[in-house]
Amino acid sequence: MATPQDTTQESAPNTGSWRDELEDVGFVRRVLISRLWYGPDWWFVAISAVMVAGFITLAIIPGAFAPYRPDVLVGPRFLAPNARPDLPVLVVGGSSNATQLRDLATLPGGERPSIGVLQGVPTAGALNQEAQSIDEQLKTEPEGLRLRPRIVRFDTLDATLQALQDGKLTAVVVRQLEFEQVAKQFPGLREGSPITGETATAGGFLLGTNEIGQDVFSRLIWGTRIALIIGFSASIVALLLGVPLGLFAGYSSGPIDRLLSLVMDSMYAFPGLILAIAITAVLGPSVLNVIVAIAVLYIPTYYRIVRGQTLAVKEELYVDAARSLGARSMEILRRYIFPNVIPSVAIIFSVNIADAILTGAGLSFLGLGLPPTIADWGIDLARGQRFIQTAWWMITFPGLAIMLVVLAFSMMGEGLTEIFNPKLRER
Amino acid sequence: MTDDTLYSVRNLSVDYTTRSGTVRAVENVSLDIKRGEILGLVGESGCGKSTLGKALMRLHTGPAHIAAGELWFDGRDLMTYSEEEMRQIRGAEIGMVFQDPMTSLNPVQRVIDHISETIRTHEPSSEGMARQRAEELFERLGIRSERIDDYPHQMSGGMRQRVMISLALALHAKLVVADEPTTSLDVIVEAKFLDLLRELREEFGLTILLITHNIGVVAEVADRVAVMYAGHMAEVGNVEDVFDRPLHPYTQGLLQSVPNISLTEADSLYRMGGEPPNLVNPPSGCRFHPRCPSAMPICSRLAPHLQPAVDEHLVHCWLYEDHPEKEMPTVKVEG
Amino acid sequence: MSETPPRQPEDGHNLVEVTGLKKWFPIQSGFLDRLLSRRVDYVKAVDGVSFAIRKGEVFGLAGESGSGKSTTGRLVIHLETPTEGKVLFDDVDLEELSDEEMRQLRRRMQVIYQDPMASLNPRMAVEEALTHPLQIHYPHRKDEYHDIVVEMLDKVGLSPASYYLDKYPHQISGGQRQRVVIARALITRPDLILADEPIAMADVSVRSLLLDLMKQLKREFDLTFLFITHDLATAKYICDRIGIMYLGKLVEVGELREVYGHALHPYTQALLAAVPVPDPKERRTVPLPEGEIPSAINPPSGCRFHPRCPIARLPHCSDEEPELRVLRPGHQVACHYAEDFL
Repeated sequence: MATPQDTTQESAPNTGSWRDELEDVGFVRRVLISRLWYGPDWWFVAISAVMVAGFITLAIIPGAFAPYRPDVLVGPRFLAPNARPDLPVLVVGGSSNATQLRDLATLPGGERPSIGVLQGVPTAGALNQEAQSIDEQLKTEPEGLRLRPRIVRFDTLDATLQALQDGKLTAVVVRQLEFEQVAKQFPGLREGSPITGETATAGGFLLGTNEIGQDVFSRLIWGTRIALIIGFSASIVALLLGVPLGLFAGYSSGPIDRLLSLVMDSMYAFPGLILAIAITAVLGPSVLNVIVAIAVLYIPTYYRIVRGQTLAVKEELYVDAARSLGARSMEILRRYIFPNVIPSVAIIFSVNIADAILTGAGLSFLGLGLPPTIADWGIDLARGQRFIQTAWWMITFPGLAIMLVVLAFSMMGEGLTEIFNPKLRER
Repeated sequence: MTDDTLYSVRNLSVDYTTRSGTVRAVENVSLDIKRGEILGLVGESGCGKSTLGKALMRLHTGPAHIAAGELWFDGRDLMTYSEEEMRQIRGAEIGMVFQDPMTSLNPVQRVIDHISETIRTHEPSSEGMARQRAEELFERLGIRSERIDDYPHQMSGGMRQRVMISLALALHAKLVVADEPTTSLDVIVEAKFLDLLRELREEFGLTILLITHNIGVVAEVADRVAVMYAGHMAEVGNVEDVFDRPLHPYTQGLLQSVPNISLTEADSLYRMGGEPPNLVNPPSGCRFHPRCPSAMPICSRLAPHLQPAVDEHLVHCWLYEDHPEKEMPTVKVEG
Repeated sequence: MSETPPRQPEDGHNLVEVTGLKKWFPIQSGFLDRLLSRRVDYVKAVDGVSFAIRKGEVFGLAGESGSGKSTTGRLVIHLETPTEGKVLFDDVDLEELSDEEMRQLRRRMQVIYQDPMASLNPRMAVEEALTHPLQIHYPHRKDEYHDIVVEMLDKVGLSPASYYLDKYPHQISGGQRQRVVIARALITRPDLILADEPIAMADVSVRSLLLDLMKQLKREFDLTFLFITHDLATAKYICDRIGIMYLGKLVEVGELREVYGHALHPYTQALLAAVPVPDPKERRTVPLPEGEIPSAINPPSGCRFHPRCPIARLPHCSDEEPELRVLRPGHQVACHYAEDFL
C-alpha cells in the first residue's frame, strides 16, 4: 500500500514545457514562433501589419517617396502614365550657346531672332505665348533686352531643321521626340531646353498627370497623410468619448444608461454619410471639422460595444470577488472591468480607421469638408470623374489607394479578432 | 473475443491536433465490455475516458481522430464501417447519454415528438404507434404523463437524463455509453438515476458503460471497473476486487483520497502529490511515474502492458509485470 | 504583520449570528404582465433562516440545488442585502453600516469561490491580484506588500513564490489557481472565510490536498469558516457543525458527527443515504423520497418537504411550518414528528 505523503506543497512546476520557454525569449523570436501556433491567421495579420506600417511611413515622410510636391505643376496636363511628354524644345545651331528661349533676347535695334516652326502644329502657339510672357518679364528688367522673335513657318520638319543647319534661322522650336528621332541627320544642331519651362523626366511621370498638370503619383503619396490623419484622429476622438460613456452606462445600468443609449441608438440609426454631410455643411470646410464630423459618426459604435462588454464583464465572478474584497466602484471599473473590455475595443479601432478613411474620402469626393488646396484622394476622385474616359489614370489610382488602405486596416482588425478570440478549433 | 463480450477495444489510440501540438489523449488502450454488465470507466478530467467513450461510436471529428486500434462491436469491426453505416449503428445499437442533456436535446421540439421521430427514423412505424411506444417508455422511466409534452428547458435535469435513456431504449440499443450522466444532478436525483440504470439492465438486458470521475458512483452501481490515468488504462477488474485490493498505485491513492461519508472511515484523507499531467508533453514511460510512490527507474523509461495480475484483475504497472531490466522483483498477487 | 486589529472576538463567542434571514428575488415579468396583474412573483431563495457560527469553528451549510445555501452565504457577508432578517457579525448589524464602514469591515470577511478561473481577473498577474486587497485595506504599508505576498504564496504551498508572481491565471493549473484564490482570501488576515464549494471544480486527486491546506491554514490563521457544499462526504472531513438546507429553510443543524450519526429529519436521512459510498459492499438499500425538488417560487405550504416525506402526516405537516427545536444535545431539527427517530 502506498504511504501517505506529509506535505501539502505544490510540486515544482514542470518548466520543460515549451510554453514556459516562450516567455523567456525576446519579442521577435516570439512573433516568429507564434507563426506555428496561429497558422494562416498569422500571415493575415503579418501581411496587413506590413501594409499598415507602409502606409503610416508614407504618411509621416511623404517627401522621401514622392518625387514632387503635390501642388506643383510638373508637366503637361493629361499626360498618361509613363508617357514621355512631347514638349516643344528649342534647337539651336552648334555654334550658338543659347539653351533657353530667353537667351535669344537682344537689345533693341539688334537683329530680331528668327525662329522656325512647323506649319500647322500648336508649337507656334506655344512659342508665341511663351515669347510674349518672356517679353513681359524682360520689360521689368533694366538691361532692356527684348525677344520679339520673327516666326518662320516651314512645311516639313526636315526643311525646318535644314534651314537652321544652313544658318538661315537663329533657332527652331520643334517637338522634342520628333527632333530626337532625326537628330542624327543634323549633327550640327543642339537641343536646348523646353520652351515652356516645364521639366520632363526621361520616363515621364509614373502615374501620369492630372488636368492641371500635377503629378498623380506624388499626389497619391501626399494624400496618404491627410487620409491617415483623418482616419486616426476621428477614430481616436470617437474612442475617447465613446469608451468612457459606454463603461459608465454599462456599469451603472440606471436611468442615465437608458438616456444615453437612446441618444446613441438614434445617432447610430442615422445614415452615416448624411450625418457627416450635415455636420460639415454646418461647420464649414476644414480638416478639423471633417475629423469632428466623422468622430461623431463613430462614437455610438464604441459606446455600444463597450457597453455590451461591460454588461457582460460586470456579471463575471472576478468582479464579484473584487466587490467582496472591498474595492470601490471606480477601482473595480478601472482595474477589473476596463482591462477586460479593452481588447474588443482595440479590434474595432483598426476596422474603424478603415471606415473613417472611407467616409473622409467620401466627404471630400462630394466636395465637402476639405479645402481644395489639400492633396486628398477624395478630391482627386472628384476631379478625375469627368475625365474617366480620356484620362482614366486620374480616378483609378486614387481609388486603388483608398481600397488598399481600407483593406489593410480591415485585414488587420480581422486578423487581430482571430488571434484574440480564436474560434474553438480544438474540442 | 468470446461470445459474452459485446464490445472489444484493442490497442486504441486517439490523437488530438491542437495549436500546441499533437496530444495523444488515449494511448494503446484495450478494454472488453461484457454483455449485460455495467462497466464503470473512472478517472480524473483529462484521463481520456470521455475520449474513449466517444471513440466507441467513432464520434470524433475535426481535430480528433482515431490513430490506431480495433473496435469490435458484436463481432463486427467498426473501423471498417463507412460513415453511413456508423450512422445506422449510432442511436440504434449504441446509445449515448451525455453529461448535459440540454445540448443533445432539440430545444424547440417537445420531448415526446423527439422520441417518436427518432423511432420512426430508424424503423418503419406509424406516427401513432411511435408515440404510443414513446409514452410507454416514459412511463417506465418515471416521467409523468403530464410532462411528456414539455420542451427540454421545462424539465429538470434528472428528467432530461431519463429522456436521453428513453431514446436509447426506444431503439433497442444493445449498449449505452453514459458519459458523466449524473455529474450535474443533485445527489438524490443521481441516486435514483443509478437505481434506474440497474433496473433497466435487469429488465432490458442493457449493457452500460458508465463513464464518471466519481468513484462512489462506480462502487454503487458497477459490476466491473476500469481505471484510466492520463490516457492509459491503469487497472481493470471486478468492482469488489479492485476496491478491496487495488493493485495500481494510482488506484490505491485515489481510493484513499476520496471522501467517504461513512462515519466509521478514517477522518483524514490521503493526499496524492502532484497533478494530472499535461498531455501535450506527457511523462515518459508510465505516465504516472512522477507521482508514484513506488516508482522504479524502469518506469520512466518504458511503458508497462495491461495484463492480468490475478484471474480477471488486469493492471498496467511494472510492479506486477516481468521484465529483464527491472531492478526490483515482480509482486505476485494471490488469487 | 504585527498590527493588532482593533477588537479580537474571544473563542466561544458567536462570530456570526443570523436571525430570520429572508431573500426573495423578484422575477422579471414582461411589461404587459406587470400592467395586467399587480402580483409580482418572487423566487424565495432564502425563506427564514436562523443560525450562529462560533468563533473558530467550521460551520457547514449543505443542501442540493435550490436550497438557498449559496445565497445564505452571500447574505452573511453582505454581498446581497436581505429582504428581511438580521445578520450580526461580531455583534455588529451589517444593515446598519454605511457603505464605507461595510467596505472596511470586508477586511475581516473573505470569500473562496468555487471556480478559480472565473474568480480571478484574467488580466491580473498573481502578484497584482494578491496586492490589491492589501492596497484596499492597508494603504499605508506599500513597502511591505511584496514581502507579504511572497510569504502568503509560500504558506499556500506555491513555491518558489517568485515563479508565480508574474503569472496570469491561464498560465497556471487549476489546483494552483485555487491556491491563489485561497491566498487572496487570507492575505488581509480575515476572521471569517466564506468557502463556497471551494473544491468542487478541482481534480479528484487534488481535492484532498486542498482540503488539508484549508484545515492547516485555519489553524495557523485562527479562522472561522462558513463552508458551503453540496457534497456531504467532503463536509465530513472539515466541518465541525453542519446545517442542512432544503428549499430556503434550515431543516437540521448540529455537530457533524451527531447529525450524520443520528439524522432526525427525513430529508437529511435521504440525503445521507443517497450519497454514493466508495465501497461496493456498502450499497444503498433504503428507498429514496419520491419526486423532485419543487420550485422556489411557489414552495409547498407548511413543511416544505411534506409532499415527498415518507412520514408526513396531513393536514398537520401541510398546514403548519415546523420550527427548529432542540431534540438532542447540540442538535436541532425542524420537523413535527422527528421524535419518531429518537
